[in-house]
Amino acid sequence: MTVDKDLIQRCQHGDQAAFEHLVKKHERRVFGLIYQMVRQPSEVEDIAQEVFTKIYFSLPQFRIEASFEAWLYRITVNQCYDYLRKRKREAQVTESDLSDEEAAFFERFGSITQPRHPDISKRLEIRQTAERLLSALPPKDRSLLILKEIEDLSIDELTKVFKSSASAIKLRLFRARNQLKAVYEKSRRKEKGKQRV
Amino acid sequence: MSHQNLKGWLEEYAENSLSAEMTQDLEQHLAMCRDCQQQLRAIRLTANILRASRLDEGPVPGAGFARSVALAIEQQQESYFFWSPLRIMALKAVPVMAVLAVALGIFAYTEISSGLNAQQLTEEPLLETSLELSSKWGQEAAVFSEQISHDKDQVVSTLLEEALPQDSEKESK
Repeated sequence: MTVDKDLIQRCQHGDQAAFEHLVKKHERRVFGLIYQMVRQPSEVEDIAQEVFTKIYFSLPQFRIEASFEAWLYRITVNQCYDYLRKRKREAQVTESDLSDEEAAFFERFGSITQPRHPDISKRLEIRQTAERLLSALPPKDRSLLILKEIEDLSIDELTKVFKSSASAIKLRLFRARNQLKAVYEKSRRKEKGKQRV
Repeated sequence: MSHQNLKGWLEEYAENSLSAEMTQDLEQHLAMCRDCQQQLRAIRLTANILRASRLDEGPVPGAGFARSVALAIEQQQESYFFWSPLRIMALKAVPVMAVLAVALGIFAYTEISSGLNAQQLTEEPLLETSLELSSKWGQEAAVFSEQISHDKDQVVSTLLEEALPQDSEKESK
């Protein structure tokens, strides 16, 4: 963290090498988050470049005591929103079928680690189903859940990224989760109805 | 501890960041609260869906990415610094323009309201004058029409007088 502060202060005094160092330090994380949000490998680099350019021109206004990582996440998420808005690839209510195996996989609550199916093709199927379920959420809710569950940000870190109180973040998470759960249960009911027929 | 407070701890419970004492309190509550059990299920279910949606192989930044960012910045910097004096001027002009707009608004308001007052004050004498004029014109018109009728009578009598002697002369002949 102090390394970041030192680099930022040097950038604020016009040190180009320090900025390149700062980019190298955070580029992987930014690439990863953009990829999870827009899910288009060909667009990731362009969006990441826009993120770092924006950061460069906004660095003079950055307060050194603030969290650089939270600021970086905020700018990245906003840049992804802009991209998704332009592409108009917004939420579409999904009514995908959910097999018993997939449902059992999602409802395996024993482990807190990332669930992974041993079979690669099955894993791909499960991932596609999960993506379809997620696409029913608005981008803001989706990005909040991605930051929480994929980027593993804590509630405390999310309050800094979204500049909200912990209770406001929890309320947003509560709504987003219940919305996703409702989509999941609808898909399950549909599949069960098919099985009865 | 109330149900709402304990329910508010569920996110931290799922991320294992509660203290041992809080965890114990919440687990005791969870054992008998169906609503909290349902919410914990939603947290775990959605966490699993999200983690399953995670893309494995994403693009990684190339060795020259930081350099390409620096180049893009250099290109943008030229236009940024070209426009920056104008941008600064525009930013400084905004409050001045706002003050001017307010002042202009106040001036226009006072002018319009004073104009309206003045019009209200002058409307009454004007009305009086117009009434006077109309009554004067009415009187003049009455006199004129009286005169015309009088003159008409005179003309008729003169014509009759001129005609009557000729008729009497004819009768005598």
